[in-house]
Amino acid sequence: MGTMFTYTIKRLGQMLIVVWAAVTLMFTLFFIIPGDPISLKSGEKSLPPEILHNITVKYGLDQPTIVQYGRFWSHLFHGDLGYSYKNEKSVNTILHDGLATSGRLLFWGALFQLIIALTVGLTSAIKRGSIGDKLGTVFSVGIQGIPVFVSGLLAQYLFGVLPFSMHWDWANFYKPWPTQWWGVIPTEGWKGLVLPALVVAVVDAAYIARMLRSSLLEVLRADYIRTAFAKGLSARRVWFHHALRNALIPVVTVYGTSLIAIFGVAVQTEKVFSLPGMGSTIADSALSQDSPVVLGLAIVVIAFGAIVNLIVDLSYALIDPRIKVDGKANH
Amino acid sequence: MSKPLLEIQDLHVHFNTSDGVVEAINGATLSISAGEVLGLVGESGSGKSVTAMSVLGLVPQPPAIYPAGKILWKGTDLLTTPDRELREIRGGEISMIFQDPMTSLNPVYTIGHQISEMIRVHSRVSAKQAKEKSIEMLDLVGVPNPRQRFDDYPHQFSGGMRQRAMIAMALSCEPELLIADEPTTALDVTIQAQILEIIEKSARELNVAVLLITHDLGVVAGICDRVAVMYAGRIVEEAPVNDLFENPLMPYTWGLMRSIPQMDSVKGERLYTIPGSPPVMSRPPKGCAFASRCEFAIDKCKTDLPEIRQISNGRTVRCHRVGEPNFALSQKVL
Repeated sequence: MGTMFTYTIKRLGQMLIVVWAAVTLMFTLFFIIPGDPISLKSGEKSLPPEILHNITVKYGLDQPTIVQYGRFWSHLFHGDLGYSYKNEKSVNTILHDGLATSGRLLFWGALFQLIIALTVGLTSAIKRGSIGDKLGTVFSVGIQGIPVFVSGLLAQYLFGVLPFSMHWDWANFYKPWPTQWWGVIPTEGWKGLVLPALVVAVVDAAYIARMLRSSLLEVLRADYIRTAFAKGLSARRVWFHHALRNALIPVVTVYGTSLIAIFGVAVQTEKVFSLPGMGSTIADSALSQDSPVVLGLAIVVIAFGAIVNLIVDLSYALIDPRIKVDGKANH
Repeated sequence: MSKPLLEIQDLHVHFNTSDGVVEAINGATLSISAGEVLGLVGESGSGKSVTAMSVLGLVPQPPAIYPAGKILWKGTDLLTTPDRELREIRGGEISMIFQDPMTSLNPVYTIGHQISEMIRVHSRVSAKQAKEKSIEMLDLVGVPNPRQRFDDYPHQFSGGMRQRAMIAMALSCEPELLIADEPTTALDVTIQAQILEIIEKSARELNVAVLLITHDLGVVAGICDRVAVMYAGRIVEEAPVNDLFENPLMPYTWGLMRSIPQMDSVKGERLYTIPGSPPVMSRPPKGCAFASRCEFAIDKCKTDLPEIRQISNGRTVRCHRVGEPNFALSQKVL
């Protein structure tokens, strides 16, 4: 594992370079694109030039670009991402509040995604050609084509409107609902989260399930699967112990990409479900050229993406002993 | 001769394919006694592997169907044995090694893990005991430094070593029958002899019967007690190994023998080949499957399927013409 540790350190170092490059690029872009945040902030009203000048000075926008750039980094090293041009809130606060909601949505979305993908993928591969496989195929192909703003609204209607219009209060069938399960898992707010999380999950879950199915079908034809059966192992042992692990490599790759792409899905989902997460913030800030907020969010997303990629690369080596993390061949 | 361990009686295996039903096995009959080494020879597609895989229930159904026949293991029909009981027999009483050792071991688990796993499925032993047993087996089949190599992955083993590991695994639960499906075909010629020797030596040492499937008559001559020749899904001749080589009865066997290059053959002389090609098994011929390629075929051969006949002690043949007063295969071989 020694090589794995040095590899991780190396990759984390590379991640810093990526963050730096991305932030610099975006910083430059904000200066190149026409329009300025202050006049956008004032909106339709035309403010007196003195006031505009005062605001510009207040945010330090009168300084040369290179100075602003340097100041951004020096603040960042002190953990300060600056202030929003729009509502003068600290970007740290905006991120903190937004991430609390979005983080939960992303976590549960990713978890549901994994559970759905594994269940559907495994069933359709093992019971190939069965009703379950066919339903799984219909589900996978069908759901992939539905955009979030349709599936989200559909889910809201099916689970949030229809049952109640039929006087079936399914969310409160058990009263009193405990505020915690087993004293640890808070149940407060889950009702608001479960639907959006499912909507986030299903889009890529379908894709991952297809991937797992085809990967498993290929593995199940392998000679070592026949050997495993010839050893007298149970079918379950063969599927879960011998086949699944070999089928995971392409699935892990897709799951990693999907975890990063889920940010984009979450933006739409948060809009559809009116969740106060980062989704709406990132869209609004980009439109109003609120660069501190956009840069702050970008750093979070880029770092997250880099870490997910690192975990994916490390997991290859854990799944398949023939793969070495540092790219050096065995022997 | 003692009561046979395994008796395959009139086995039929058909495959439902998009091109119709392929009748891969059409009445194969075969038996093996305890401790015996039986060679099953035949060309590609003759049904050797399907017969062997059927014994362990490893042929996926569908597409395979078993319209008739029995596979009796110590008297119980394996074809009707429930999966649960079959699993105990697989690996425990009958184990199998395969043609390609490069792909027969799971690449993501260590050799040791794969051998111990099999031991622990079939006997109630601790992980530590299973490990010791695995190392002992690896040592038996001649893997050097078995204790260190226990933790190696298959990709760290060479082809020959992997096949040794497969043999170690197959023998680890002290089975009574080892089915070796072309165990040396995918190996280097230099390694082939070693692997065959290991199979023979360990089998005789542990008193395991061996069903050796091969298309290599040299392999058969080397280690088998008895030989069964398979053609188009049927056993066409069965004999003790020396009798078969000295005096093949069935014209197909005779053709096979003549197709082997001889040490004393004349330089520049063309090697004999059996004319034609095996029948398409989705439309099997009515009579003897070999009739269309046989130099000795008479009209009866093309219309009537010959029955298995006992010629002498331990020798059976499926041919109309064998035993006819003036019938003799034109040339003696070997």
